[in-house]
Amino acid sequence: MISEEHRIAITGNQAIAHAVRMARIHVVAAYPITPQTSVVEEIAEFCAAGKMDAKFIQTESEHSSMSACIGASMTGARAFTATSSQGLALMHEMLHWAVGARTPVILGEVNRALAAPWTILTDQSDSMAQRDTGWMQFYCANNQEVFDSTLLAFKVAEQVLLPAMVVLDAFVLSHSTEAVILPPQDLVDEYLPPRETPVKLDPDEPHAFGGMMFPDVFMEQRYKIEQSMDIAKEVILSEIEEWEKATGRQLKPLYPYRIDDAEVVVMCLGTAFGSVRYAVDKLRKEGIKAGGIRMWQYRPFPIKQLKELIPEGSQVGVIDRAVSFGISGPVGSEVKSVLSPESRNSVYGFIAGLGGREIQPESVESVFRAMLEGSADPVGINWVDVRK
Amino acid sequence: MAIHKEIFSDEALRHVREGSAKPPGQLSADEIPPMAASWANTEKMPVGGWKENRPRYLRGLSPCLAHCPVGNDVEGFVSTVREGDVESAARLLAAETPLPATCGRVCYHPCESGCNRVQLDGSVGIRAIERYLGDLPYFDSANIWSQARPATGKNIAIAGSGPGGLASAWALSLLGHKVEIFERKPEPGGLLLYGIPAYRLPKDILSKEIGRIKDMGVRINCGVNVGEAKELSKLLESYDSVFVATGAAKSRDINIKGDNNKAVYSAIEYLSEATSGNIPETGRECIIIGGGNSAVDAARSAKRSGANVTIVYRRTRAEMPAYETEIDDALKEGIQLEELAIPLELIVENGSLTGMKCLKTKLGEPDDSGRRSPIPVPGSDFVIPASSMINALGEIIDKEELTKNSDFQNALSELNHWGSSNIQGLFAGGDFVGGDRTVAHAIGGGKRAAMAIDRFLLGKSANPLESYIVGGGPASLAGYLKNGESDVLAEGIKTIQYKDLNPAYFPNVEREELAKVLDQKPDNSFREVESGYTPEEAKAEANRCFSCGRCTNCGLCQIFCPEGAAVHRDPQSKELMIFDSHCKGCGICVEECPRCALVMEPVNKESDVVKTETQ
Repeated sequence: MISEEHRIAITGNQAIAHAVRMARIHVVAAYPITPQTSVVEEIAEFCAAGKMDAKFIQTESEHSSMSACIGASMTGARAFTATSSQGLALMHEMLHWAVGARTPVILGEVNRALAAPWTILTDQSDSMAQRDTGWMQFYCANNQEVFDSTLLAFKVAEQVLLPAMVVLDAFVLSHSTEAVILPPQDLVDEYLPPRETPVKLDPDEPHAFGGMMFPDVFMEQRYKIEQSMDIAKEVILSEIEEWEKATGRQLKPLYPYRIDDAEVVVMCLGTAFGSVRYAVDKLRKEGIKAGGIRMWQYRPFPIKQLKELIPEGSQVGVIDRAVSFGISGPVGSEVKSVLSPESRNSVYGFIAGLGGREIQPESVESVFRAMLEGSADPVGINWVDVRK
Repeated sequence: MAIHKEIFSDEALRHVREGSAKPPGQLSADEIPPMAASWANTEKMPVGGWKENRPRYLRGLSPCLAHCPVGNDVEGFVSTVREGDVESAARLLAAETPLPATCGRVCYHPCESGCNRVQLDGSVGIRAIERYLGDLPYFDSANIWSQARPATGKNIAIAGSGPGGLASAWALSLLGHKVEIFERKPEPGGLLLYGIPAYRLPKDILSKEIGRIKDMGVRINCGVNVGEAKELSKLLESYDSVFVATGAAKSRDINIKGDNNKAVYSAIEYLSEATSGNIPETGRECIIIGGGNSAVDAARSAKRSGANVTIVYRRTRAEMPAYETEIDDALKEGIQLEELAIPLELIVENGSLTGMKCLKTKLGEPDDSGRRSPIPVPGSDFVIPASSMINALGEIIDKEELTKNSDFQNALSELNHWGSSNIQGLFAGGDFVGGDRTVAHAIGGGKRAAMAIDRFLLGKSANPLESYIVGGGPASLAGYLKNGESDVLAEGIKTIQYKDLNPAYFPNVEREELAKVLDQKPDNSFREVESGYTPEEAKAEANRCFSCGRCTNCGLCQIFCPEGAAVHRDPQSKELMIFDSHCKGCGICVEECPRCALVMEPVNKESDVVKTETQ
């Protein structure tokens, strides 16, 4: 088991870097962008110091970073990149390619709002804009979870041949130092054995990949991606169990808070959940049956777990840190599609915390109160803390 | 980690590995692999028929070759040093020059001015690499050369043993001819010995270089002044051919009051005496008039004899024809430069020189030389102290001294590029024929004349002499000996420019500069001011060479070819080849090539049917 001597104080970005190092990665290809830069800086230093035996490629763009990772992954290598915001947007084309080519690349994604106007602060508009690419996404709320999720992501991705993003809030996690327990290398080696690839780019058994597929087989290929997402749901659960056995720490697709008898629930992703818990406690003191859920596993969407957790007939407010302009927040509309109408829940979409604006306990409280008072719009966007 | 069985089934794996006769639309879900993967490699897909253009390996010319007045295969010997084979590098160098240790010290390296690396981080230190090779034991004897053909029985007389005469003698010897040199001075070497001070070219180095040429059987008769003792026409009667390379040995007159004083010297006379060990008396204040290389050489020699030296020049430093590094070194040694001044008269008191009256000038419009002309400023005269004056206004060619025969004088004034005159068997080269007066140009002229003499003596060969010209510049003796079979002599060969290269492959690397004695402590001795490269430094510097236009087998074309199979080096012949059947003409190999050793050419669809059968 893990002793206290493995506990070190590191930032969220360093937590990813350590996980990548311990995963015995082969290829890292990246381009710097705030707030991601210190992830690859740390990895570059590990490589330079001989603490990692990896090929580090500084590319000329994120598009190339992802392309290099895909190429590396196709040879059977374990490949990693990290980015944020504009960088992730520039990768967009290759994000699709990574999925279609079935390359289990892992991406450290530090959530930063997309320009214009320029900002470097956090929201989830960058990663939400990639939700339809077929990447798995795990949203973290502390640095230990960042470390654990990164290793788990490798293990799941290589089994289901889908790439995965480990997502963390800019600065709140990326640049904030917390205590993180790093397990010994042999424990990681045992948990995450070398990748096995039966078909790969290999001069000894040559194949061409990514060629033309006509309508008689293209749709089956797409179906297989969705099928893999379904399988991933089960693989994630069993890998969570394996990780817990090895480390005593448990990851959860959904993290509930005082949910069992809740009549009004607020959901969100990432570190804003701290404010949710605070508001729940405050309302509970007033006798209001409030509860909260944090979503760690966003893709594949944990439909089953959500249905089990949400009390029947409760009101559910979903706080999105991204907007699908002209309709709602992305997570809100998805929760709505999953829960209604059989469980008799009313689901409301809220938008808060864009471009780094803090989601305070008062902000969350106002979300609860809007639902309790019946002033929340059940169809449109409910803006939180916005001057209108 | 292994892949989940449901995601990559055994059926799908078998399908990818073994292929299937079924059309894709009839495959079961289990048989369809999760990704698009072919059954075999791209050899099965002869895409050669797609192309509109095709790449071809084509040697381009490195600009250093075209810029070298000698005709050295500069890229060849530099890249061979880079590859670590210094003996082959020395042989490549020896194939085109008899005087590598000399040029490696005194050449003003036009090759480096032409070097494409100038546009990145400074030219390759070619001259220093040549010096490094020239000082190696391979050049200890004439064994580095082997006779190109048996003795022809032809006899050639050469007037002058400077670089032009020596180069010509060497080349003619290699070609099997018997050569005799006539030199008016007591020792051979011409300007190399009597014009270039020993701190730039040590005498033992020069003597070793000349010794090798003597060992090839060249006879050098010193103390024989062609013109006085032997009339040219007489020489031509006794020899099958005569080559005149007596240089430009007469000083231009200065024509000012007092110029007949005994403390007034010409630079030629001063340097000649100084290099013979009898440094003429200059007193405390020595004035040098002129801005060329002989002015700087005279100044630095006078400084070494203990005088305070001032160079008086009518324009500014920027217009001085002397080479930049020589001026730098002279100033470092404490020589003064009086710019924008013309001498008016020498002040003589009681028969002794005491000063020189000068007039200030200002720069006007550019003159014929392209440099701004000096305009005297009336009333600006001033006096500088002088105990001696060296006139370095330049040297002129004296044909009258050589021959009184006007037919010969005229013939020697109308020479072609190869030094041939309209008198049968009479050739000339070196400083004597004008043009650029450098050691390298003289060697180049001597080589050209040797090739012309060879053709004159043995009748016309298959190729015109022009076909041995490298890149519109120098002539290649090695190419001549191989009857033109040299890839740098290919017709229409293109000189590679910096824009043709792919600088992404060339990181900045600082040039290895030669250590200079004077950087530590200038002294008054004539010991050599520069020291040569160590083997490590030579290799590091050679490593900076781009090898413009020549395939170095770096393999990037193979790495980048999307068809994988399309670009190859034949394992047996080492010939570069592109499989037409699989090259689809994308041009990535041409774009990526760091050194422009590939070109893209249009495919003529009518006549040039691309074969598409599988290899």
